[in-house]
Amino acid sequence: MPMAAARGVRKEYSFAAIALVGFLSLTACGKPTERPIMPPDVTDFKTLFSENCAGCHGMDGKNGPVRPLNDPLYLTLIPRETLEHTIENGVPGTAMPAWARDQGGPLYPKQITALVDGIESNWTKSVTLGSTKLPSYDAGGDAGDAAHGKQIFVRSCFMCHGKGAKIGLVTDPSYLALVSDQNLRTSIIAGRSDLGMPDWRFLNLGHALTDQEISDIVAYLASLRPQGAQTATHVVESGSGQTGARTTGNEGSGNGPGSPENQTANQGSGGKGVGNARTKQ
Amino acid sequence: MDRARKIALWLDDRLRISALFASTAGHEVPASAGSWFYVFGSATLLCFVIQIITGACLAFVYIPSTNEAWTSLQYLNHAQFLGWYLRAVHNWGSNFMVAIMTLHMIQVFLFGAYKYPREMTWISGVCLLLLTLGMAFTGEVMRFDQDAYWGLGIGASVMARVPLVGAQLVHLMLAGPIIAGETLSRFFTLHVFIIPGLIIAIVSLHLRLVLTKGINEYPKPGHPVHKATYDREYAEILKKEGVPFVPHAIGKDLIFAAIVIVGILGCALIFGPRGPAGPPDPTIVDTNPRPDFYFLSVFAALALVPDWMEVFVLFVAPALLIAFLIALPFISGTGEKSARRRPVAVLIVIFIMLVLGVLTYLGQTSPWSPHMSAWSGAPIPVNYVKGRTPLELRGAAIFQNKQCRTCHSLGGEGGQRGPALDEIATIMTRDEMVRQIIQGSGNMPAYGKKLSPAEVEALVAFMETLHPLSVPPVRNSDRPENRLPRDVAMVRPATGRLNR
Repeated sequence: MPMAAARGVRKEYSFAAIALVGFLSLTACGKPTERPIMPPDVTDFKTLFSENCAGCHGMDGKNGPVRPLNDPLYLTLIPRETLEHTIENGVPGTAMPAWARDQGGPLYPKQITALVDGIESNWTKSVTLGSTKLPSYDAGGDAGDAAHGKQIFVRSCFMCHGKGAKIGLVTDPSYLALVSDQNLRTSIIAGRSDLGMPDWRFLNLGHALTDQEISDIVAYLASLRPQGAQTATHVVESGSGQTGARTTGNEGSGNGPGSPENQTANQGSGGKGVGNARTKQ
Repeated sequence: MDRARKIALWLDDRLRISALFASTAGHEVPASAGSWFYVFGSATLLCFVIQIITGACLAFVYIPSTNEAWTSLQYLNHAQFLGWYLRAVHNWGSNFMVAIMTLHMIQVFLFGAYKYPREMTWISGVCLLLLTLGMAFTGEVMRFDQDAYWGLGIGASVMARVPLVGAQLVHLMLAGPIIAGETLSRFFTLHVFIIPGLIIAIVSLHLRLVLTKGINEYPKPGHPVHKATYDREYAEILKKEGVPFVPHAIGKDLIFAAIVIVGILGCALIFGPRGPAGPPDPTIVDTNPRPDFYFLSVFAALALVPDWMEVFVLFVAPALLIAFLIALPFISGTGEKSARRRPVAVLIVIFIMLVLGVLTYLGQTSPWSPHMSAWSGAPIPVNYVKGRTPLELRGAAIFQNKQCRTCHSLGGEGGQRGPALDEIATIMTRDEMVRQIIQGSGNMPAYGKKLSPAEVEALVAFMETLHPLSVPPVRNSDRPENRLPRDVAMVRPATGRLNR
C-alpha cells in the first residue's frame, strides 16, 4: 500500500512536470517565427495588397472608394494582361498611380505578378450569365453615339444618377474629369456589387444593355466632360498596344506613388467646367 | 571525512576565505536596513551578473563584422537551439537592469542615502548609471540592424555638432568618417571589454564603500544628519541594533532576486528577443528606426524641441544634469534624510518621472512622424464610402492618392501631424475647406498647384460628408438653415450635399 501511494505521488509529480513543460512551451510565444523580409522581397499577396492597394480598393478588395477588385464579374471581364498593365502603369489623369518600378512606383515585376495572381486566385469565381453575352472589356475604338447614349441614360440611369436622385450625379463635370472612359464602361458593365449598383444586365428594364448601348452611354458621358481633361482620350489597351500606352503612362507619372507631385496638365483647361459646376450648385 | 576537513582548513588558511566572508557578508548593518526598500542595489548587481553570463554565451556565436553580425543574430534566432532565448534573456536582463537601477537611484535619493558620509558611494553610483546607459547604447549597436545603423547615424550627427572638434569626435566614434566595419569593432570592444571592465571596477568601489561607510539606516523624520555627530550616531545604531548582513538582512534580497530572475526569464519567454530589424542597408529608406526604450525620451525631446534649443538640449542640458547629480551630496550633504520631511525631493522625483514617462510615451507613439504608407495601406473607413455619390467617392480616392492621409487620420488611421478629419464638416464650411487646401496655413502646405480644380471639387465634396449622423455640417451664415423639410433632412443627413 505505501509503495502504491509513493508511486501515485511520483506519478503526480511527473504529471505536473509534463504539464509545466507543456505550459512553458505553449507560452514561449516570444520565439521569433518570421525572418525580416525586405520590401523588395515581399511576394505575399495579402501583405502586398494590404500595403499598396487596400487604401483605395478597400480591405479585402471591396468597399473602397474605387473599383472593387474582389468582384468575380469584373475579373471575368478584364483580361489578365490589362489588369497587369494597369497596375504597372496606372491610369494617367485618374487617382490610379503607376506601381511598376520602371514607372516610378515601388513594386518589382515579381511583386506585380504576385498581385495579379493573388487577385485572380483569391477572388475569381465562375459567373453564371445564362444566355446573356458578356460585353467586351473595352470599346475597341468604337465611338458611341452620344445622342443615342443620352436617350438610354435618361431611361436607364436617371433613376439613381439624375439630378437630386438617390445615388448622385454622374454627369457632374468634376466627376467626369477624374474618371477614364474605360472606368465608366467598366462601371456600367460590372456595376458596383459592394455598393449596390447592379451590373449591365439589370440597368435597363426588359433587356440587358448591348455592347453598342454601353458605348453610347459612355460617349454621352464623355461629351459632358470638360474640354481638355486628359482622361477623355486615354484608353488602356491590352496586348499589342502596350508600348504606346507606356509612353502615356510616363506623362502621367506625376501621379506615381513615389512622388507627391501631381499632374497639373488639366488644371487650366479643366477649370472652366468646374467653375460651371460650382455655379450650378 | 577528517581528510576533507583538513584540506578545507588548509585552503581557508591560505586563501583566507572565512575571514573575507566575515568581513564582507558578515559585516554589521542596522536592522532597519533589512527593508524591502533596500533590495534594488543587489538586484541591479544580479542583473549585471546575468548580463555577463548571457553576454559571454552570445559572444560564442556573435561575429562582430558588418557582413556577419546581422546574419549571426538570425542564426541565433532561428537555427541555434534556444539561441533566441539567450538573446531574449540578454535583452530583458538589460531592460530590468536599467529599470531596477532607476528604482535603486530613486530610493537612495528619497532616503537621503547620498548624504554625509556616503558622497563617494553616490558619485560612483552616478558613474555606474552613465556606464550602464553606455552599455545600453553600445548594445543596441551590436544588433547591427536598421535601428542600430540609423541610431549610429544620429549619434554621429549629434557628435558633429560639438564646436571645433566635432569632425574629430565623429571620427573617433565611428572609427572613420563613415559607419563601416571598424565602427562595429569599436562598439564591440566598448560593449564587451571596456565598459564592463569599468563597471566591474566601479561596482567594486561602490561595494567597498558600502562596507566601509556602512549602509544607510532607515531614515526617521526628525533625525537630521550633522557632520559632527553622524559617525557617532551610526556607530551607536550598529551597537544597539546591528545585525550581520548574512543571514539577517539578506533574506529579502534573495526573495527579490528570485522575483527578478523569474521576471527576466518569464519576459524573455513571453516577449522574446528584440529584433534584429531589417539588415543595416542604407539604401532601404522604407524604415522606421527608433531607439530602445531607455533612449525614447531623448528621441522624443529632440524631435519636439525647436531648432534654436537643440544645442542646449544636446550638450548643455546633459552636462548640467550630470554636474548636478555629482554635486548633489555636496549641495545637500546634511540635514533631514526622511522623505517625509523633504517635499522638494519628492516633487523632483515625481516631476522627473512624469517628464520621462510622457516623453517615452511620445517617443513610442511619435505622433509627429508622418505615416508615409497610410495613403495606400489604410483603407477609407467603409461607412465613409457607403451611400456616397460618385463625385464624393472620387474625392475619397483623391484624398488617398494625394496622400492627405500622411498627416491626417480617418477612422484613427493615418498621421497625426494635422487634425483628424473624421468630423471636419462640422468645423469647416465648403469654402473654408477649399481655401485651406489651396492656400494651406498653419503647418499645412498649400496644395493649390498640386491639384486640378476637379480634384479640389471632388476632395471637398468628400470632406463635406465627414460629420457624425447626429451633428449636421456647418453652413455659411448667408444660407438658410435648411432648405429641405425637416423630416427629409433627418432621413438623409449623412451626405452633406443635400444641405448645400
